[in-house]
Amino acid sequence: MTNADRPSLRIAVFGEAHALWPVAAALWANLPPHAALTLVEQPARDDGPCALTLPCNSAFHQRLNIDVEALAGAAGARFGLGIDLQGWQGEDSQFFAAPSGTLPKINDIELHHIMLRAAIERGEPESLAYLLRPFRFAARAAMAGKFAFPPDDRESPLQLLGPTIQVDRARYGDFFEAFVRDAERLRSTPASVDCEPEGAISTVTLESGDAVAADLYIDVSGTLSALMPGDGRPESSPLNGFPPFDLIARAFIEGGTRAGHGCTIAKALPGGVLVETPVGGGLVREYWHGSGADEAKAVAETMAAPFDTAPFASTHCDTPWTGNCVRLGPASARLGPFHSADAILLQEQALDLVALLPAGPAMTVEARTFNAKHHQIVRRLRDFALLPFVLNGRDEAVWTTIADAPAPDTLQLRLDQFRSRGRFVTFDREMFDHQSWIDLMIGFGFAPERYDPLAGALDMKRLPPVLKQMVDAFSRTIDAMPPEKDTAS
Amino acid sequence: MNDNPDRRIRDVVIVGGGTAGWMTAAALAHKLGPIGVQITLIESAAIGTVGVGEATLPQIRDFNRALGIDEAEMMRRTSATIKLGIEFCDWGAIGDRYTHPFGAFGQRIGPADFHHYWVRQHQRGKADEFGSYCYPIVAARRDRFALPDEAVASGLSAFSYAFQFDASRYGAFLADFATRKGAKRVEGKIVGASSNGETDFIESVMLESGEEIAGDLFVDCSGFRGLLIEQELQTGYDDWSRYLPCNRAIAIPCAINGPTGPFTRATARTGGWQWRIPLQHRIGNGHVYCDAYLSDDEALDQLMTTLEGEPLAEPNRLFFKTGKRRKLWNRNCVAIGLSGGFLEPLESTSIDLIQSGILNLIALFPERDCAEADAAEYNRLMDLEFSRIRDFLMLHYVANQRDDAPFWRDMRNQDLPDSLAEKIKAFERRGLVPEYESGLFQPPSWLSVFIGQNVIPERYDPRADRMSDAELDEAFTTMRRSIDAHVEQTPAHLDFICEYGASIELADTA
Repeated sequence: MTNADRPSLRIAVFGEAHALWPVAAALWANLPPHAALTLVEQPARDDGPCALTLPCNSAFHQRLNIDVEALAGAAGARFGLGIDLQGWQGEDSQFFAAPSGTLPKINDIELHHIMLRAAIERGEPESLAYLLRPFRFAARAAMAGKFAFPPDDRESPLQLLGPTIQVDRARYGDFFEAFVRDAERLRSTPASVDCEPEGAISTVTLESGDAVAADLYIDVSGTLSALMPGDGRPESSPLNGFPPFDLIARAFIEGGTRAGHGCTIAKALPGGVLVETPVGGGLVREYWHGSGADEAKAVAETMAAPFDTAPFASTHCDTPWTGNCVRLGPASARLGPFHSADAILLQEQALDLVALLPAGPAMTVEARTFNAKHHQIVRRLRDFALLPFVLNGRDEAVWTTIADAPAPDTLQLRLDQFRSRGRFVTFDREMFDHQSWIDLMIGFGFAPERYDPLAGALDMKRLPPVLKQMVDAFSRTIDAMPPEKDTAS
Repeated sequence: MNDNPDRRIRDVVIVGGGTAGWMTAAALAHKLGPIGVQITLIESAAIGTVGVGEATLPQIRDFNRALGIDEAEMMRRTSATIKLGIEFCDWGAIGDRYTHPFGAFGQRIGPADFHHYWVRQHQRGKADEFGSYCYPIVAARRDRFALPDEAVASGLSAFSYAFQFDASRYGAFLADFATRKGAKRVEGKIVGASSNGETDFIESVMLESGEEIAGDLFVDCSGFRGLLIEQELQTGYDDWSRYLPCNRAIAIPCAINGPTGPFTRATARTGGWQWRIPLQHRIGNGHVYCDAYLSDDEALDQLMTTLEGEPLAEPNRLFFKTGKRRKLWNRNCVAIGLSGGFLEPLESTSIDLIQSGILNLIALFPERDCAEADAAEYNRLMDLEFSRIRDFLMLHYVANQRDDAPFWRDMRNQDLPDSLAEKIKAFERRGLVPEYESGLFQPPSWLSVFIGQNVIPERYDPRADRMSDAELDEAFTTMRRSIDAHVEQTPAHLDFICEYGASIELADTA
């Protein structure tokens, strides 16, 4: 068998616009000449407004050559420098989580080890977070209301910035529609699925009466999977360690503004997490909370605007690619609104899918590889999204229960190694930079018990001028940065 | 929080010299000496060393850099030559020849990886041999070498190199380095060890002379014997000989008798394989085989009748069992080198495994209580490294089409670990290559063995069809011309060595 004897490849994608178009754009940009695309846009569920906070320089944006400023202009987005985590260590606590590159090392030793030694030597080990604060360049810039993109100059402190784009999910999805040309487009909802005896889908009939026949079916909403016979659907199970918040209330506050910086805020509240994202034209509020009987009033007060509520359950399926059906994004796993994990999952999977487009009728190798990668992505996203929950310091029962629950193995290994010696454990396919992990752990009071022994060889008396030079350079750069309002669309 | 000086490790005792011992001593003395850790290495002149790893991998350059070792000086002191890859002869089928390079194949010409375009050209009957699209391979075959431009991340200069050196001289070179950095050498034969009754931690080792040497942490570099990790701590051994059954080797150096080329060669024989490692002053040779398929006399005969030059020593026989210790870090003892495990030297991984053991030990350098979490993490990292290397080594044996000897038929039909079976199937069907962020062997390595041993994907990434036939022909022709032109401008390997790191022996030989 060779590619020369291949049949044509008909790919059909089913989903709501916000997920359908980014996936379709990724496919379109990579479509081989013998392939054809059918896109079935389902009506959006009435879940309310939803916002995304995504890295501007994500692999997805880079691979699709997305000009993020053009994207921001078209989708009414704002730029930010990270997410402001408020209330996670108690009502008035605050920590700005910023993608922040990697801080310069001194004699090959990471800065947090050096500052831990300094903190211990001055008898105040608990001051580590305070000592590191001047070096948190992105967080300082964000809190000062400044914004910039990293320049070409490799030596500039601005290289430490990892700008994010804050955007309404629907408008973000619509932006990608223009990338797709010459595809068959249908607007309807799958009504029934016909399968071959071995389980492969042969035809999908839509509510409109149209029938879609393809070689590869891509389900980005879960609708298609739900219509498949029980033995054709992969098993789904809850994700370990997730908080017991089962509802998401959503509202858009048109023209809504906020004092202070314009970055996304994720605020821990007694009954859940409120994510407030400034986007073009207003604020999107998403409150991820529990469904306790006494919650309704609290939710209404928190939202302070008319809102819609949708159920949420963290799930994960083991084999998102079965037969000739690939499940992406929410059809394969749901990780919640925090860190826009669901959107990042969808984008990473879309990139994997285009690299694994079937080369022939048999797709088992592609499916196994895709499923293995899916596991990696879910674990990496889950661990990072769970980190502030696991390390929270709130005293309400729901929060202490979250903190006391066993963490997933990979996250626990990272926590143990960091706690014991300040070492950050990495795995294949990391999606968040190491410094973000380290900053968040230390910022949440999870400091190492001891520093790297190699830090003991440094002459601490010679360090202050070196460190001061670094901090001064950061300060000068922040002063010279433009206000974020000048860069918001 | 704590930083109690009483908990700090003050004394590290390394048991055994040789490559592993002195690499460990050099790195620990360099990195930990400045914080007051005393490194003591015990070795006995009466006990020989195996002298593993005359051939290395490019990662050794990171080790040299981390220690501030000058490459040119090291080359002079160890009679080293440059290594751009490993040439494999007769592995897929008799008469086959391919090279595993220290660099990438081809260049990016579209959304799919280069090898998918090559498979497409191969299916059209338009592809040249895969290695001809790889600069270090072409340069190695023409006996040329120049230092790569390290600032270039892609293109023809994006390759690396390693060294082929005299392992005993490398050990001596590092012994000088380590002692200059404060490591202490103790001559003596270890006859016993004493442990703490409560913790079972080793407290000291006793020498034949009666001297007792105490330490907080012991590094077992005693070779196959595993003097501390096995004889004292009875850690146990994971036997992998069902996967890699070769269990004997005969080594012998011979004289240089003509151009050698900047590469190691591994030639498949009827019951194993034979290495050839050219140094400045001699060629190292060895025959690795399985005694179930080949007698010692036959193995010796095959080796001696294929030497390129006059033998320079008596044959040295080695006996081994592939596998690894169940725990490479057990209590307060870390096994590095042959005491930790042995995977045959087919891909020159011995020194790299030593290096990984050292770097992980430094990254996880413990306090005196050797926290279980540190040992567990060290063992997790090393287990991963060992198992990934094992899979890669097995691929060479499994992917053969030889029908001339039972050994090769049996190797081809053996049961595979699931991890390897999946990798082979994914490549055969669709050209998918294993990708790790932390693995030693990256996609170019796997590609070289797969394609070099005639495992050609049935199908390629359909994105490779986005180029027309004419565009693809043009891209491939341009790439080959560019590589050929670049190699033509590259100086001869021998000229490079003479200028950069020639030892006296080379001058004599030349």
